[in-house]
Amino acid sequence: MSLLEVNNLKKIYKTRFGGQEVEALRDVSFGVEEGEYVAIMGESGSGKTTLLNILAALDKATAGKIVLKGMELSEISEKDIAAFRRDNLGFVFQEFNLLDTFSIEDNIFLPLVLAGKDYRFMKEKLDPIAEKLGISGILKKYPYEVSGGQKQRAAVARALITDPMIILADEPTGALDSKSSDELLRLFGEVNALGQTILMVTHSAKAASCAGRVLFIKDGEVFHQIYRGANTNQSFYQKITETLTLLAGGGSR
Amino acid sequence: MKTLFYPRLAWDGIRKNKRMVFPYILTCICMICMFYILAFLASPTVIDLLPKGRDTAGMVMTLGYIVIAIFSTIFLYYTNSFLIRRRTSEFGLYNVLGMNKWNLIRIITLESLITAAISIVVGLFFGIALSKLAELGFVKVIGGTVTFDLHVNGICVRNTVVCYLVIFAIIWLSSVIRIRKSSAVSLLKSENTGEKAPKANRILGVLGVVILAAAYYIAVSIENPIMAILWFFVAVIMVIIATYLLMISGSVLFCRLLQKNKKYYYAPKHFVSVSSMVYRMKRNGAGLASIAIIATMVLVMTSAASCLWFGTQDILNKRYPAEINLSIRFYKDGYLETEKLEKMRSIIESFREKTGSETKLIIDMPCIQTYALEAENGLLITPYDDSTFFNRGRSISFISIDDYNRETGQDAVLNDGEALVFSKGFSLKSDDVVLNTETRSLKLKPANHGEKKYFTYNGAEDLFPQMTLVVSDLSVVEKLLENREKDYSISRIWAYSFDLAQSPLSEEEYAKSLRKSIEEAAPDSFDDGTDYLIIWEIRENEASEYIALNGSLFFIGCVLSVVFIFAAVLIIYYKQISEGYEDCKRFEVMRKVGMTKKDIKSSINSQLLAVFFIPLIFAGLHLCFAFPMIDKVLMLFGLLNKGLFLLTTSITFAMFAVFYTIVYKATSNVYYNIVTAAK
Repeated sequence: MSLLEVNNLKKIYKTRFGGQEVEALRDVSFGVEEGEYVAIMGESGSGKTTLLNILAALDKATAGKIVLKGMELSEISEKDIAAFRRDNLGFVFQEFNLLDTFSIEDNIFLPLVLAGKDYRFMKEKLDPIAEKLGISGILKKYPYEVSGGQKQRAAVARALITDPMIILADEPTGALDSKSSDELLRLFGEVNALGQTILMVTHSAKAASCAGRVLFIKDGEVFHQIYRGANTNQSFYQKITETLTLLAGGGSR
Repeated sequence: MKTLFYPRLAWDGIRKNKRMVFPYILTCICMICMFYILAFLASPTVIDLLPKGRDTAGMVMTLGYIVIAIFSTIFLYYTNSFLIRRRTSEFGLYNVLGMNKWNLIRIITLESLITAAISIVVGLFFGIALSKLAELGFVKVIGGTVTFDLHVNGICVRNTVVCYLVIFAIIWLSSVIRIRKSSAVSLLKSENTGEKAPKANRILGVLGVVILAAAYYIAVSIENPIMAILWFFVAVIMVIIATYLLMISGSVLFCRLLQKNKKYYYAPKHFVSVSSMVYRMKRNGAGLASIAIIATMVLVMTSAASCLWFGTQDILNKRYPAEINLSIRFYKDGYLETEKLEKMRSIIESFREKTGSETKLIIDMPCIQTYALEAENGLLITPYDDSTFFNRGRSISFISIDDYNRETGQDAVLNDGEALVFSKGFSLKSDDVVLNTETRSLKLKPANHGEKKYFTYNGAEDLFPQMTLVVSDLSVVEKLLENREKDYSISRIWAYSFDLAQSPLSEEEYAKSLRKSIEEAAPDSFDDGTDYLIIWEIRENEASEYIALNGSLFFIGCVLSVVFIFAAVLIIYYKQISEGYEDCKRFEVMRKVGMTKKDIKSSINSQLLAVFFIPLIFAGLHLCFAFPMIDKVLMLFGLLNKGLFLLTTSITFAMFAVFYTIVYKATSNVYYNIVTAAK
């Protein structure tokens, strides 16, 4: 059984006064195995972010089901959903979403504090992660004092510290310069090599080329998927751009 | 089309920012309205309706509208600069889209004109409409005859318009300067310059505590009413400074200390609240301090003014113990001897019989009054200069044991060289009271006899701490002070107060003719008629002055409270709005990181509650410590009723707390709307 199974997911938005309906996701199905590194690609408006929000339980699907390690998401009550999210999912956002009222260290601690862990436990947990991500020196600083790349690494640390089943990343390189992007993608690769499952939404072919599998979404459906297989980053990148060109020009299968 | 472009843009600017601008205009209207009302009450149109005390009432009202003018200037200036700051990004966008600074200034100018015009017209409208109500209330309070036709005073209208045009001009100028000084990029960016982590300034925080403690100490330790009024303003300024320091630095320092305590800080309940509070306090410290100070001001003002007003009868009864109060002042010694006073009494008695009246004697008390300096071991009667006198001056009254026993119905006996000592406002350190002049001294053993009640014939208006010495005979005192009239101020006063129970004459006629008959009889009774002075005071007549003063103070207290409360409400409102906008982003992030909506709401709630209670607690604390000091100041107004003051203070505080809670609840809704509307 896959770690994450998405079956026939459908999401329809209604405009405020009940008039027009917008179909963001028509029929999405895929699975993610444990330890896999999956990228989801698609143009703006293809439903990527909607999909991620539903996976993150921030939004509810209109139809279909999501099963994470045997638990069906829609069956978790509203009351427990926050704790579920905190314990099982790690998030990395484009905008970092660090709270400017906290130091970097406290930002990383946030999910653990919410789970009621004590300080010593958190500190022990943090030290190796900070070491690995190269942010040990800036833990006491505040978000406004550090660079974008450092902020994003702090956000990764925050995602990792709860040992989540899966990391959901939404355009993690979107707000970074190319050097910081490379750095972050390298980190993702290392984390994945240690067995961490990652699901990343992106429209950067470069970012996607670091993943093990790439799903393409178009018009609310999974349009295509390609595996890295034995490809190098370079040739995988080539394949991805070709698919993207096909997607943009082609229209239908 | 082109000509209407800028006015339309200006109007849109006001309309689109109505959440911010409307309350501002409302405040302007309120202040203009109040200004006009007070100016109207100070004008002859109203003042001439008063029976008495016109000058006093007019002065108090004039003072009132000057206070409003000054307060409006400062308050509207800062409110406006807050509004402009929030809108700079909008102006930046116009700037980038091709408007130059002059165009922007044109928009600002038009907006200022619209704001000023609306405020002044509507403010005056309400001012004129409500002025009749205020007039009725005011005249009724003081006791004049009310008329029911509506007056408009042209001079007051003109003054109001001119005054507020000047204020709006100042505000407009400051906006123009702000726009002129800034560049396009800074205009665009100014709203999201990254917020720095607040640094806890240890020195300022500690300084705040020290200054507050010092101010409280001053307020509590001062016993002398004169010193109280001198130090009151010092203490007020210290408290204001300390409040700002504490709210801005002290609060951050406090949160930082909490954060140092890892066990406390890293608990789910405290983690978010404490770290957000640091920012909240940094942003709102000044605003909260202002609210606390305005609240204190309102509380002090209303409680003191209402106490004075409700205690007016009390003051009158103390100051004028009977309906008719005679006091006869003698300029030479020897007159206070029993036999001469008996002669006077018989004159008064025969006058009563002649007119066929009934009187009821309330006070009959001869006494010698002088001033002394409190010295190391006793009191020193000596020529003094004013500066030492303010600190150590004491008012001393001597009365004889016979008079004391007669007035109090006691049976006290004094040995030679002994005295009964009663004091108020100070106490001597040693048991032996030594009364010194440069040349002679008198040792007075305090004899605790019977109740140790403060007793004086009529000392309520006296400003200095008082001591009454009951001696065996006033001649002892005369001997002590012999031939020193030139050097010391010595008064020999015979106080004689009575109620007129029944008489064909009015109180005033009675007092007048009584004085005449004493004066006519005097040349035979005394050596020289010019050596004394008879003063008569009718309580009823004097009362109207007191009522005019206390009534106007009460009235002005209420009006100013309304203005100040309005200002405080506006500060709270803006605080909620600006926090709402800043918090809605944070709200979203927290949700993504794994907090439930309920968690977030309860965390925000507890923060808002803390922010809400801090100013109220500060105001209450300030009020408690100000209490003894204001009590002393009220003494200067002749009010010695601590119980009444305690009552008015508690009622005022309770009413304020309720009102404050309502306002806070209402503005919290605005906050929640902003926060939840974002998502």
